Amino acid sequence: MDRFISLFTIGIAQGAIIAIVALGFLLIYKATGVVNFAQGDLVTLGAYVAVWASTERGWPLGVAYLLAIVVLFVVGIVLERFAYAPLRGRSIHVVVISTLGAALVIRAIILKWMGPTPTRLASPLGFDVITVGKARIPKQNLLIIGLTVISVGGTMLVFNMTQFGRQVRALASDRVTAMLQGIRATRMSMLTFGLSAAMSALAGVLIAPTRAVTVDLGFSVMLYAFAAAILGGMGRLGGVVVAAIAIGLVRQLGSGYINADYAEIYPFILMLVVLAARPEGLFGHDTGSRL
Amino acid sequence: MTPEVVSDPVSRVRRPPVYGRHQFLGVAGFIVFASILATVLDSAYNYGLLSSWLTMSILGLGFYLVFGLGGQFAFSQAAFFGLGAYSSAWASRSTSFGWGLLAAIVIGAAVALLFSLLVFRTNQFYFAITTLAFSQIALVVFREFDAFTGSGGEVIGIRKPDAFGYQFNTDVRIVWLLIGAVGVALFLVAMIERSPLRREALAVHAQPTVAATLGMPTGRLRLLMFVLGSSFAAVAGSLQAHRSGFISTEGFSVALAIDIFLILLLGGVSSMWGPIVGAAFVVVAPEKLRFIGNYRGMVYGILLILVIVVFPKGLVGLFETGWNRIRRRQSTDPEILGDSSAPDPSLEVGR
Repeated sequence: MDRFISLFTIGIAQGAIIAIVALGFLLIYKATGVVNFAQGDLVTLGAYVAVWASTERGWPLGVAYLLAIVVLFVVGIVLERFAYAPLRGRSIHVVVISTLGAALVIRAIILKWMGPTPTRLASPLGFDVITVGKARIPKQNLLIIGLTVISVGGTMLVFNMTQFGRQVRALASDRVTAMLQGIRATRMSMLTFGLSAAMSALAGVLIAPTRAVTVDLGFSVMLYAFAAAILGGMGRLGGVVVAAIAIGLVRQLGSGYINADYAEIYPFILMLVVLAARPEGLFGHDTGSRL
Repeated sequence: MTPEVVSDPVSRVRRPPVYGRHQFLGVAGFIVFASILATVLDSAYNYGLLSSWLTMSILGLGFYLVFGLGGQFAFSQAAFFGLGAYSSAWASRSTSFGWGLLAAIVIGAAVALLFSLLVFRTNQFYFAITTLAFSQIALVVFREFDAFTGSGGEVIGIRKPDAFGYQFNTDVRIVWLLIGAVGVALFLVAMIERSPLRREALAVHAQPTVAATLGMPTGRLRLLMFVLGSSFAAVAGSLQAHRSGFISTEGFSVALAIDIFLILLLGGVSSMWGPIVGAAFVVVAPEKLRFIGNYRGMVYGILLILVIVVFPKGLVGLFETGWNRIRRRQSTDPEILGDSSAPDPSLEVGR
């Protein structure tokens, strides 16, 4: 039971991070139709900005976290200007490949800047743990879960309740009509890229204290986020969040109870099985719809 | 009174040939060129470069079938390269190179078939992600499934290739073997280029709905291209394993999958010669131009973006445009990474 509690909370915490990345990715997808393969490297970049600020500059962790989020917001807008804006109107293939190129560039910049040696990012809560029964739960995991609830809840509110969210949804459902109605697609796409990158940064600084920070940090998170987005059918945000948590749990429980060597691949097997049965994902209705 | 025969205005325009021409001539030219290189070059270092180029060419040709013709965004090419390498190393342990190669082809094709049947009904973007997931699964299996791959995914002492008692045990001999292999691969692709298969595959990927209403077996064509292309990768993997005698999981990561993208896009996605040219660049450039070697990731990323923004038909497309301008002829090839403002139908069903 203690083992289960421990695995369960780690699973939820990992799922929470995946959920943040998946939502960021969906935001861009809905507003512009672009599948952003640079999402994972944005996560990594966010973590590295925080590492740089806290270790090399010696700034307090809170400042480092905020700095990472702000910097990444700007990076997101730059990314939009360079890798997406020049390609507007070209086939989606082209744009996707361009995000792949952007991912390579970001990765190369990180390597040049911080080098290949793994580093660490401190957690604001240190190595404190809470004991439930005999299970020791790092407080960082609780922080992750708490911040995720806030940010995911905030995203959903913004998405469903505000003018901004309404415009994103309008762009997703019918881009041309939305533009005819006066929605400024250019500004919206810059804004969504910025927000999405900022969310990646949040995910990056949250996950970084739980493992070694390397240039590959964001890649596996991105893959799980993709899987979550697909399992959720790219549809309602709630479905994607549920799928993300499920992926975190499957990974942890699988590693605890089946075979830890293969932990990385349980979520992917789950995804393949679900897609074989339901090609549009668990909560998706119409394949390809961005609504 | 019989009506006057009106000459069909269309027939007066010189129409482009139905298929591209001179493919077999091209294959012969390639073999001659590669043979000259193999004869002229002499250091082990140069043989290594030449062999890498040839291996990557097979890999790129396979990806041309999957992505260029089949239009499928697949990151799995690197994984099938690995699968071929490990299968071949495993099967040739107590037998010979021939059995290893056969095992690579059979296992590679079978896994590709099973995988694509499993995710057959997903749309294009989902398919891309599932191939990424497949690569990750493959990497973990290579690393952990010791009975098949050896401890930690490292296999050493793989036997050198041989055929009918002839040992390809020196660098030069292996280069000749690889030239033969690329020749066969090019010949197969040229056959596809000259058959209706090319036209149909392009139609399926440009206009899936129209192609389906015209009675083309869209699903089967995609499947065929994926399985064929993946088998090419498996063959390349087998050759690579037996050439170097050593394999580890590092050689088959997603980084390689992205290199393969660059090979095809830079070379030219709409021509069978694209991957050959692209592979030459990816293999030779980092070695010969120190700047590229040092800033590899950055250069590749920027190139990837530049290629699709500025010359979407790649280097081969540039040559072709130049050549056609000299001959004052219109290009006949359909755009594969087209400039069309029409969104990709398979991704935007919901519009």
